Amino acid sequence: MLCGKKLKMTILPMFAILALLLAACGSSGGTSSSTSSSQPASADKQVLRIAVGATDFGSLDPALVQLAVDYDTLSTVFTGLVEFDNQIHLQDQLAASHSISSDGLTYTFTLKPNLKFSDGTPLTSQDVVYSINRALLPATKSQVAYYLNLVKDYDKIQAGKVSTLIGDSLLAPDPNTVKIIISKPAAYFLQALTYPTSFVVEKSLIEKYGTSWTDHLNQGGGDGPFKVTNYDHTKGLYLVPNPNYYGKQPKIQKLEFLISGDVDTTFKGYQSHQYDWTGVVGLPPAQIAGLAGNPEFHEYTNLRIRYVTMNYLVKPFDNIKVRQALALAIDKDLLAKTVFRNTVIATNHIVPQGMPGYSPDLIGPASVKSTAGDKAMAKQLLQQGLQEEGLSSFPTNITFSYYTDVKAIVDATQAILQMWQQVLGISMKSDATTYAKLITLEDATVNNPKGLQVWISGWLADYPDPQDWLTTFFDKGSGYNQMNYGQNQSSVAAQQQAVQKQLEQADVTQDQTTRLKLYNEAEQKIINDAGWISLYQNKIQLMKSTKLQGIVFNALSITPPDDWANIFISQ
Amino acid sequence: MVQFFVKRLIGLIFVIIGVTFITFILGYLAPGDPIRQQMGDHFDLQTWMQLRHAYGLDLPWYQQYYNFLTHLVKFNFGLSFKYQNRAVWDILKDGVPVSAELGFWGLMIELLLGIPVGIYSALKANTWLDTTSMGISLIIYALPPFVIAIIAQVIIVSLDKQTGGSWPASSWGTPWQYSWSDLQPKIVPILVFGAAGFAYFARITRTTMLEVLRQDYVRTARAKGLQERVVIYRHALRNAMIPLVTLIGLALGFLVAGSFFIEQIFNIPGIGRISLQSIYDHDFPVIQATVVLLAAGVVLGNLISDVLYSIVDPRIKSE
Repeated sequence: MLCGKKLKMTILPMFAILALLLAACGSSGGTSSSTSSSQPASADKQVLRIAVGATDFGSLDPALVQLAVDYDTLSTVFTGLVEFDNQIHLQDQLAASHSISSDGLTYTFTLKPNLKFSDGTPLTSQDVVYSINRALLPATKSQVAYYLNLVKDYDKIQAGKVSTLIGDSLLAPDPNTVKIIISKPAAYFLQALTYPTSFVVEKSLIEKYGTSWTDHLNQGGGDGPFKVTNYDHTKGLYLVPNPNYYGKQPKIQKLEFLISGDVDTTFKGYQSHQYDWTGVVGLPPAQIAGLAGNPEFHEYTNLRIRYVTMNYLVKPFDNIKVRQALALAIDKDLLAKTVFRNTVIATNHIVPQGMPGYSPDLIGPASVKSTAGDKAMAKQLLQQGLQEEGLSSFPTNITFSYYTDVKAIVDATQAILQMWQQVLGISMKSDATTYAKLITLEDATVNNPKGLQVWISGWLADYPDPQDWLTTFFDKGSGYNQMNYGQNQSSVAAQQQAVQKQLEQADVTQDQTTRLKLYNEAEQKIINDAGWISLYQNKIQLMKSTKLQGIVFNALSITPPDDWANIFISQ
Repeated sequence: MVQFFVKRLIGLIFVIIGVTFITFILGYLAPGDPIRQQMGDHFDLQTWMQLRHAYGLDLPWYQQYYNFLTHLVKFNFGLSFKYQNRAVWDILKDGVPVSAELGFWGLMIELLLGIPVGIYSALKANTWLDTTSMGISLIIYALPPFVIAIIAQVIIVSLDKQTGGSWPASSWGTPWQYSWSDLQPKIVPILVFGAAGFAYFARITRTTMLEVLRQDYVRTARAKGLQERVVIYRHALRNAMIPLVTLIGLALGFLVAGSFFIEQIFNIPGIGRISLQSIYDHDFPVIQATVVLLAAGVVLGNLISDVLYSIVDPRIKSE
């Protein structure tokens, strides 16, 4: 029949298209693995292509850098006085050695001999103090100058009251010596100094090109293991070994940081062999489960913790048993599995895994070790806590604030509220906002009983030192002590203040072992108080070609400058 | 004609003012603080105030808008919030040739595929050929462009895995350069662009051709014994093209704005991708600049369309 024939002729092409789609969709998430030797391939094959994500670098100026991917990229071109090795141990980098005065205020660095910029110009102590001073100048408009806030008279130069710190707290008594004077003893100063704000840049290039100097890095300006040959804002950054590098020469002969698109596009690009390493871009969550066992798939923790916390100035959150009850009612293992699909690690810690000061022996609130919580104990503690407060039930006017920028946070919030409802029978109102707005509200909660009540937030380490976690968030007078730990009317306020003194003591103790012990003890007390209800620590998932050898993953996601001598493409 | 152009260009100025004002006010009133967003977790009041002052964000809204307009006259769109110390035009100028190239070749595919398919369908109207071609066109037209793009990418990756090849699943070559390394990554995105839009031109062409083929003068031409080829291509098609010319002119205006989804999915560094990312980043200067570009493109596209229309249709020229 004519109708039937027409219909067949229309449907046939549709089936053809459908068959093609099904064939294409039948492909698995992984790539084919290949074995590789441990011998380097020939020099012409030493080309490493690293994906950097959807956008151009925010900035390659060390004084301005904020994004992790920018940090990783410019760390191949610039270096500083001190940096971390791949085990996150502090080491001298441009400095051959350093010493600290007995009062802990003066740091003296002796530079390595014969240092040069990538264009062959000598690099001296004057360049070091210039670079640090430049990062602090208001004209530089650095949003990350605070990494150097320990430098004496930091406030004055930021406020424009002084025009320079060179000759004040930044001294270059001779071409090979740098002295930095800080405002107060701080055993973590060198850790803060590892951030790129103190990396050395070439003054002549900046004076010649002004704010667009990073577009001319092919003319010099760097002092790292690589130098720039081309910076294309639409494609990425192209580098070759720096012949004037003071350390061992890299084996990689061409290094390319390529703008690769969003997470899905980057993954597909990797599968099409456009990249050898997906860097810190991440992987599509839906693909991760299928990549287990793939030799090109790697996973490691990074120094980011997400947490829930409560304002000590809002009743009943000044009662420690109530706080402990809320903490133990959350099954963090279930959250990690269902909401985050095992892309995170459930944790009770404040100081994350993978950095100095992490305490594997730390236990959760009320001596509960498990990250799955304890429902029975949670109920009991809530009852006791409410009784102590003279309350017959949990208040109904409590608001949980969360941000909607990340879907997983929205899902986690709903899951937590549900757990509290199911385990403790309590309900809270929820208030959705943006991340930027939440930060504003957090700041306004300091010393404010009318500020936020319960909220979810997170922290990414500025530098891998427990001070950046514990003192920053729980010390007296800290702008980040938004939960008002120690500054409240709870029955344990005096004990919390004692913990704060312990943190301050740890901040100035030079002996590392003693310091870390003080921090560990303080952390356990804060966890027991449920100062934070830490939820999870992030993991980074990536794909790396099996031919790319010598990369050592660490929680900072850094490749130390001298490690490039061990990285190569194998045969 | 000169008077016509001058009138339209004056109109363009008013359109730009209207568009920029609306965009500015929406951005000004939108929740969120772009400086605070850039600062992330580490908010410092002093730094925040300094940066707001540096970007002029501490001025009253009317002062900010006035500054924007006066800079616009000098083609200065200001500095990006996200890409520190980079001028907005510096960011956009790299994207314009890329989007223009993608849009131009994509439009060529749409026309080279769509018009013949439309003509063929009209000539074979109500036969199985017509039904099939229009059916396929409708299916492809109904598929959102980002679905077609993702399917194409999945096919590339699958073929690469099975053959051991390395056809790029994303990226773009040097704009308007056609060595193999520049051309190879462009082929699939251009075909996707063309596939997503050819059905539109096919259906319009079919409809207008059918209408024209029913006209008396076409019957007369056939009655005079002219070859069918002459009747179709010299008499019927020219008149059927008139509405198409309007659409082509409008499409040209949108070229500069880029195809948001195709650029995002294929990692093409065009205006579309820049625009999308600037929205995620609350990078208002870039958002404003892309809106101005788009508005200018649409107005110029309309102008081109009107001019082409008057060329193709003598009745309009005489009016």
